[in-house]
Amino acid sequence: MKDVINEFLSEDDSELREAFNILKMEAKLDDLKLRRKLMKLHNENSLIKAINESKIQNENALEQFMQAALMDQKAIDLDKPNSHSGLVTDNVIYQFLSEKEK
Amino acid sequence: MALQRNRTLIQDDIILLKHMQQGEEWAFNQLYLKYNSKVIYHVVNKGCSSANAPECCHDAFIRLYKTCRSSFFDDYQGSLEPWLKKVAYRTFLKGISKKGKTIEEIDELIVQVEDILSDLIKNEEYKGKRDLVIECLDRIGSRCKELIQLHIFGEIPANEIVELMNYNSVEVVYTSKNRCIENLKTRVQNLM
Repeated sequence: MKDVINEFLSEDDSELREAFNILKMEAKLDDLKLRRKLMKLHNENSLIKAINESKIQNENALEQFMQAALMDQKAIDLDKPNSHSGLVTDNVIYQFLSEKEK
Repeated sequence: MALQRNRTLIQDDIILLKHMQQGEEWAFNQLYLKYNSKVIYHVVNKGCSSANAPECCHDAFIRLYKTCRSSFFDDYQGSLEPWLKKVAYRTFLKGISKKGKTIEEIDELIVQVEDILSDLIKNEEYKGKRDLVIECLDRIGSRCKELIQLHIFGEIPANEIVELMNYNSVEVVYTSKNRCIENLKTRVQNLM
């Protein structure tokens, strides 16, 4: 750090040298704090994106799974418990259908 | 339609920049959330590793934060995206092997710098000199103050100062810097 300051301050400039060192250090601290804040924003943003993506993927997977189950006529015959192929339980189907109705 | 959309995006950037210049932090956060992914993808496409890309992107945003009040941004009319990408790419080229820091590493550095600073500030003589320089910086003219703050304290290289402060060349930056330092020295000596 002193090298940069030595570039333009002569040996007689000790008053400025110390003050400049402090001010440079303060600027460095501000940079670090800002960098930390940005890193935190970046991590939070990545986390939110990852959660949203996995939520969408999960929703898509469930949708596909349920569509496949509904194609199986036995699976939607809710009056006859456990009469379907066994791929999905009645509860899951009830849940899915009630979610759909909402 | 696309042209209209681009105009709206540019307008948004200019409005956010104006708020940033007034010290409103939300505007900076908004710009960060708007462009960080694009800037990261840009440097990754240019060959930066995905581990180091956020660091290059953050350098660009720190530069924007530090220089948003400079003459360069006074009448800025375009989108900030190309400027941020350019600065991030420049950082990537400068520190190609630089490893991106984690939050924990940054925290350690903050503690180290704070320790050094608190030791320095404890010394009444150093603290007095620091306050004196701050006082004199306010009296040497806004352009000189900006040049010293960006180039000396902010460590922004002279070639970038040329662009940010509308100087004609690097040589003019050096000449101006020497003149401003001399002016500052005289004022400090007069007040001591």
